[in-house]
Amino acid sequence: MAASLVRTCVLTTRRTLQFLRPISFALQESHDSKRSYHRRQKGFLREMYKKRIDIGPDKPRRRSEWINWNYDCEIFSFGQRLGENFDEGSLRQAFVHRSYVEQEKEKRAELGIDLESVPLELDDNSDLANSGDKLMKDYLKVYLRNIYPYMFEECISSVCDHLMMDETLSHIASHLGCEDLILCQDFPVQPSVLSVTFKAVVGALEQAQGKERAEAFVRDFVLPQLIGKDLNEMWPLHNPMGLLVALLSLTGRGQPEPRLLWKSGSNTMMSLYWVGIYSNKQLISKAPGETVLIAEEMAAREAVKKVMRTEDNRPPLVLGTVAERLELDRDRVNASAEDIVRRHYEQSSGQSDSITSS
Amino acid sequence: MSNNAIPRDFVKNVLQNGVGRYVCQLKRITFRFCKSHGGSRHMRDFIENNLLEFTQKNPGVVCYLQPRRHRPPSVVAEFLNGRREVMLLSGKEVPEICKWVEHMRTRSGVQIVNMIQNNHTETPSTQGIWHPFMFRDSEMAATEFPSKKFSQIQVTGKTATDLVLEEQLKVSSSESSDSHIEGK
Amino acid sequence: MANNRVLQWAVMARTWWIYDANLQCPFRSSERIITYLKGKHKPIYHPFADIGDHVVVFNTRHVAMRGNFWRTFKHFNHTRYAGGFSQASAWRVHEMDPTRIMEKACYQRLSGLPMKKTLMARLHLYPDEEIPQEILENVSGQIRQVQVVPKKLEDYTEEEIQNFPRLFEWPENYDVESYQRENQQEPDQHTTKKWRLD
Repeated sequence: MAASLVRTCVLTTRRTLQFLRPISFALQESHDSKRSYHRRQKGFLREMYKKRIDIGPDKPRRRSEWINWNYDCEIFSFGQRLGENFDEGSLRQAFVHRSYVEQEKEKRAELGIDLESVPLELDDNSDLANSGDKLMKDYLKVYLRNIYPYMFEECISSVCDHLMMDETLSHIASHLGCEDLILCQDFPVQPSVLSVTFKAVVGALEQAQGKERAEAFVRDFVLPQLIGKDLNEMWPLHNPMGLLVALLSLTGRGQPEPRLLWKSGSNTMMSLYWVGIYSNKQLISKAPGETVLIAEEMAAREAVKKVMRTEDNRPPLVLGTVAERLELDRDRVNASAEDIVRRHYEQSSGQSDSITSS
Repeated sequence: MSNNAIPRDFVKNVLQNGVGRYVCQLKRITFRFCKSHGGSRHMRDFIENNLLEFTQKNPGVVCYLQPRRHRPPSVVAEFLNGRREVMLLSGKEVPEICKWVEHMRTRSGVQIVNMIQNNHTETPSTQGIWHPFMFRDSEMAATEFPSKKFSQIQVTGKTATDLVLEEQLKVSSSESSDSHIEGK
Repeated sequence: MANNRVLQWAVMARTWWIYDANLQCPFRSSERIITYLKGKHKPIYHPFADIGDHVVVFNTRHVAMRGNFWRTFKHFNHTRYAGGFSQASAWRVHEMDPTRIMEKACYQRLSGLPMKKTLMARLHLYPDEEIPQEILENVSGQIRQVQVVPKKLEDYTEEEIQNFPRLFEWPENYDVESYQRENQQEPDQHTTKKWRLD
C-alpha cells in the first residue's frame, strides 16, 4: 500500500518534470547560451558551415580596402620608419606602377573622359626605378670590389646579379612595408612589381637626399642579404682546375698536382677521400669528397676560394655604423678570370709555336 | 624539450634588422574602443593623455583610432613581416596599456613561442668543424695496414730483462774501457 | 651548397679500423673495440646518433686468456625449451669456432644498447692473418693493442740465449732435467678423476 503510494508519487513527479522541461530549456537558452547543449541549433549550424565552405575562401583584399587607412599618414611614416627624409612627391610617384596608370587611363576612356583635354597627372615609377637600378648596381659592384679586392670580376657580377634578383628585392620590399603602399593593377602584388618599387624608392631617395644617402640605404638593406650565403656558389665556375692551372702558371708557381691525402671505406657506399693540391710540393688546398674525382674538383674550388680570399672563415662584411667611415675606390677594377685563362693559353700556345719552329 | 606538441622555434630576426640599421618593426597600431561604455574608460584616458606622446616619439608608426559601439577595448598591431596581433585591454588600467603598447613597439613581429636557443649564428665555427682525419698523424696515410708500428702498445717502463741487459752493457763497456786503459 | 654537402660527408664519415688480437685479452680488447664501434672516440658522439666505425679484428685464434679462464670461463646457451640448457668451456668454444670468444666478449659488453645488432654487424672477425682484400682496402687506421706481446723462448735466437748474462748458478746436485716440460706428466694424468674433463 505504502509502496504503491510511493510509486504513484514518483510517477506524478516524473510527469511534472517532463512538463517543466521545455520551459526550463527555454529559460536556459536566454540566460546562458554557452552551457546548454544546442540540440536544435546543431543542424542549422552544420548547414551554415557547409554553405560557407562551398562559397570558398574570401577574396584577398588590399590593406587600403579596410576602414583604418590613411595614405598620407602611411607615406609619411614609411620614410620616418626607415630614418630618411623623402621628398613626398617623388616618394608617391615611386609607389605608382605602370599597370596602375594604364588601368586609370582605361577607366577614364570607359567613362568617356578625353585624356588630351584632361591629362592624367600620374607618372609611373619606371624612370625612378631605372635610376635606382643603376645606382644600386654601381654601388654594389664598387663595394664588393673594395671589400673583396681579390675577387674576380665574373664572381662580383654574379653576386651583384644575385642581390638584384626579383626574389631578393621583393623580399626586402615586402618586409619594409611597401606592399600596402603600392598602387598596381593586380593583387596580390607580384614580386616583379615589388622589386621595381624598391628600385624606385632608392631612386626617389637619391633625388631627395643625394647619392650618399641612397648608397647608405642600399648598404643597410640590400647587402645584409649576403649574410649566411655562400658567395662562391653564386658564381657558376665549371672548370676550377683549368682556372687554377692558368693562375699558377701566370704567377710563376709550379703546376697543380692533386694527391690523395686520406681515404676510408673505398669499397663501400660511404667512401671518403681527401685530396690535396700541391704546387711546388707545397700544399695549397685540400677538400673531401665521396669519390676521388669529386674531392679533386672541390680541392680545386677551395684553391680558387683561397686566391679570392672568400673561404668560409673570411671576416664578415663591413656593415652598420662602421661602414659609414668606409672610403671606397670607385675606379677600382678587379682581375678577370677569363682574362687570366686567355693570357695563359696565349702564352702556352706561343711557347708551343716556338718549340715547333725550333 | 622533446615534446612536439608545445610549439618551439629558433630565434629569428626579420630581414637582418640591426645589422645595417634598426627599423621599428611596428608599422601600424589601431586602438579600438567604445566611446561610452565603462569598460573602455582606461583606453579613453590613455588616448587623451598618453597617445600624443607615443605618436610624437614614434613617427614611423601609424596610429588609428577606431571607435566601436558596445565592444571591449583592444589594440591591433601590424608588423613589417605581415603579422597581425590583437591585444584585449578590457580591465587593464592606463599604466598597463602603456606597457602593452610599448611591448608591441619593441617586438620583432615574429610569433612568440618557446625558444630552443636564445642565440643564433650563421658562422658557428671559424676553425672548421672536426672530421676524423683532422688530428691524425699523416704517417698513417702512407702505411699499409696492418702495421706493427701502430699496433704495438707503447711501453713506458722497463722490464726486469731490460734492466739486466743494461747492466750487462754497462759492465762490458767498463771492462772494455779498463782493457783500453790497461792496453795503454 | 656542394661545399657544405661534401664537408658534412667528411664529418659524418664511417672510418675502418683494424686490430691485431694476437696474444691479447679478449675482454680488455673488447672494451677498446666497443669504444670505436659506438663512436665514442669522436667529439661528435651522441647516444642516439649512428656514428660508429667499422672494426676488423684478426688473429682471434691466437687470443690469450688469463689464469684458468680457458677451462673455467663458460659460455651458456638455452634454447628456451625444456632441458635446453647447455654450457661449454672457453677452450671448447674456441676449438669449434675461433672467432666466437672475441665476438661474445664484444656482444656482452654492449648490454643495454638498442643498436647492438647494428654495431655487431660492423665488427669483422678473422681467425688468422688472412683478411679479404676488399676489406683490407677499406681500412684507414689501427687500434693499439691492450697488452704487451711477450717474446717467447722460440723467438730468441741461439746467440741471444747464449749471450744472456747468467744471474746465478744452480747448486751441484740440483736435478734440472726434472723441471723440463718433456719430463712432466699431463695435468689430468695424476688424478683418478679422469671423467672430470671440463
